[in-house]
Amino acid sequence: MKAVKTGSMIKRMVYVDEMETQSLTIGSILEIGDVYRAAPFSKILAVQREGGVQSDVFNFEDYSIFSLKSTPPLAPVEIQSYTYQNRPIQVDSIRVLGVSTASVFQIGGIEHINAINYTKHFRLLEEEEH
Amino acid sequence: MNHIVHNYGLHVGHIRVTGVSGSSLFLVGDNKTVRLQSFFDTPPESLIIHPEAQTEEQAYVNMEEDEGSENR
Repeated sequence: MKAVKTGSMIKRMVYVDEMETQSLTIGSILEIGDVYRAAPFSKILAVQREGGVQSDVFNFEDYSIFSLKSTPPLAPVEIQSYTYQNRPIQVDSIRVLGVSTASVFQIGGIEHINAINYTKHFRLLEEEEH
Repeated sequence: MNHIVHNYGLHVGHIRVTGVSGSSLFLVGDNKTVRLQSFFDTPPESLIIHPEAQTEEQAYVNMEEDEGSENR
């Protein structure tokens, strides 16, 4: 689990003896090993309709949250630094019940992560529609 | 600026996590940049906190007589 490439960062060795995960849902990642970049993305419309849902079609474009733009990334901070990578990371056991909605569970080094999630909950009532 | 990092031995016993959710990260290892964004909208109905049934509280307070009051 150690990647030494010219130009990429040197990642420490990671030893995990035991790991357990119950669920991994909605655009999530469980990665063992080194990664350069991960960018999980999810768009969710969670609809609760009174009287049950038959076959409805919803468009993301109809809800303003999905067109919200994120702020531009900050300028990278450039600091001259030197790292002595002399010892590994050791974890005896990891237990993660759930990983969900554009999340990352990573054992090993990862250079860049860029995760985005859009979630819209709403209810449709029979009396007055919201 | 002189920035030096010594990565000495790191040994962790047990990690227990219930959930990693909504564009989150659980990482065992090294990293350079992280950018996690989540846009979330939920109706107010699901956030209303219903008022609790009224409770009556009883308390007893013992007041000591103020000795200094006689000197007034």
